[in-house]
Amino acid sequence: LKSKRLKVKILRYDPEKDKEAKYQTFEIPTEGTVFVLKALNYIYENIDPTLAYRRHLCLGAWDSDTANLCRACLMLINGKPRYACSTIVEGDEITLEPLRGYEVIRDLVVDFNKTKIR
Amino acid sequence: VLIIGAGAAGCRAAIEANEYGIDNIIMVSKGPFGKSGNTNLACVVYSASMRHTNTRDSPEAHFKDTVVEGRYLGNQKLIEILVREAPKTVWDLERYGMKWSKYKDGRFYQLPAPGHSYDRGVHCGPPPEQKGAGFRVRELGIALQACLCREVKRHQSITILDDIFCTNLLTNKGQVVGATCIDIKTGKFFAIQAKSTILATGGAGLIYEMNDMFTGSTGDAMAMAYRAGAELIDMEMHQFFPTAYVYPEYVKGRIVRSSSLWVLGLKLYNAKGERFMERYYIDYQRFRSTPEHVPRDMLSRAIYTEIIEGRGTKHGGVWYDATDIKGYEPPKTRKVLGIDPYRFEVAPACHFTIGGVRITERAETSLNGLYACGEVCGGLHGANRLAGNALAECLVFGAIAGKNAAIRAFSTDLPEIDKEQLDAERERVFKLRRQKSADGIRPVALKRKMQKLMWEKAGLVRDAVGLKQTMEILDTMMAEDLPKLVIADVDRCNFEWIETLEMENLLTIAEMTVRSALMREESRGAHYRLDFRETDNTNWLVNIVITKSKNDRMHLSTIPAVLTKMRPQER
Repeated sequence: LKSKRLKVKILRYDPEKDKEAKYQTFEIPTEGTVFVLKALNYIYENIDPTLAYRRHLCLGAWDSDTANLCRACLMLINGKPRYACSTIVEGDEITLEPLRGYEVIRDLVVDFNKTKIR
Repeated sequence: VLIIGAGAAGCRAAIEANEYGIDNIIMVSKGPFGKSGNTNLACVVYSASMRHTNTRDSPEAHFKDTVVEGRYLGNQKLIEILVREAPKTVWDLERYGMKWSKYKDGRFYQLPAPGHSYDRGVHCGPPPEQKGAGFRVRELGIALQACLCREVKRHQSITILDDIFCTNLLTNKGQVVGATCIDIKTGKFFAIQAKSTILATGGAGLIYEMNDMFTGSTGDAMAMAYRAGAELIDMEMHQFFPTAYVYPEYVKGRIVRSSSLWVLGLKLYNAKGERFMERYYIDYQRFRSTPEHVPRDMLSRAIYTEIIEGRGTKHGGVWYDATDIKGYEPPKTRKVLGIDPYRFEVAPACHFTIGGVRITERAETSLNGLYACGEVCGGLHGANRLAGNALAECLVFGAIAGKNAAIRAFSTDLPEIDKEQLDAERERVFKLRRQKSADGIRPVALKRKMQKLMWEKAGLVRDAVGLKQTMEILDTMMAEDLPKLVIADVDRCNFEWIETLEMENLLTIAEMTVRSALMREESRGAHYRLDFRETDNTNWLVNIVITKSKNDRMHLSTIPAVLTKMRPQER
């Protein structure tokens, strides 16, 4: 497998500093199959240490038909709510947004206790 | 009452304390409540001698299995409580709404598990009449956590605080009076005052490179308790699970499910194509049909030795071959991820922290006002843990800790917080964010470095030379690298800041592991020394206890193991 470049577009927002949320695009090298959370880990470790996301990767009993997840890394991946830890990146571009309906704390982290009234 | 940790043990403690009439309970969780922690990842069985599937089982048999598998190092008073109360907790969970797997007549359907002499594992897979029952077991942990979360929410006076990282315990005149915390969401520093504090945070598997734990298992409460002056026990014991994926990178550290495959004819090969277990277990044909059918600690050690001695695959594992197992249906997820479902690379991974805070039968630690339950406490399992005993431990001792913490809270007044201590702690925590250095290190980099070191030198196979080297490197890390850490100065969700604080805790745990491993000059269960390969029941039937001495150094001492009922027989 040849390594290729992956474009990760992330909706970033800090309620204390920013007026509105903005997209930021990161380009990272990938090889083979990549989970969304691993791509985020790569950005956090090598490019931007201020990126906020639920990075608790559950290394549990994934090896079964009923996946066992801690369910904390739920986010919008290409517009659909998915778990970052178990979603595989398809194509060479991906858009990540925080889960809708909850208050955003920063970047991709939402407060599961505070639902936004729409 | 303050409860640190919101996994199975923490939830059970909160419920129990509330039912004893305490209406001011705060439970803090490092991640989102119910969406984090190791309980969610727990696998299959919950050990309790219910006598429903096999009537010959009894708490005494459960006691015997636990003691023997723990190589007589476990505190037998604690084990007695565990086996006696475990069946009761199953009924408790049933009342909380847990859907256990049952026979049509209402008996619990219990599964066999390695190390248990009778079918003892209560679970929540399909009922016995259904096809594939007993093989297709559904994950217990996630159901258990969900059920406990619902029950906690029914007790409305339990306050749950999400995303709170506890930095240290506050003490005043020898008793614990609360804890200092950081709200990860806002970056605010605050203190929680409490009459009694319960630690329920779980293990410290992240000191090793290969671990199957939740990324937050950094032994925070163990390090906090140590800094506050509590006693820790058996810190050299870390249990390893023999088969976890090593390659591809994205599944690294995840367990290959079902240890029953070892029995059914799994084959392990090293890079040379040699079936190496035949070499480690020469006369297997007399007892077993395959050489791979050995206890967890033996199999882990053999695989690890192959890898360390350079006979592993290029990704640092051995080949796992399930092609010859009749009727084996591998999980579909493997194919989706592009892994050959029958043949892939595996290595052992850290699975459970056996050691921890020393507790009494009333779940008290050596400090007044501090209680501990679950994986964070040590001394119960001895030198090896049996399948399913960990969840039982969480529920049994969670209830005991909750009850005793409640009783204490009734009989004492709210103690004063030492302001100086609070200011010193605030200074320590915020200083990290202001650290600047020319050759700064990211906490991630330091973590990786330490994990690799611990894995190679203080993992499954240890010897004096390697341990001494490790100790020196750990000392330099603590003295030189920690002040060099450079982190982002952000208030909200500064995970790097939290990671730095976790890093300090991890280094403390790593030091404890290395020091106790160096002290124990024998091999027993999970602890294996190349230079002392025999189990020495005359000199080493003792537990190693760590405390903080006056000049801030670790003080190690030994106490005789608690053997109330069973003693090892001389062979």
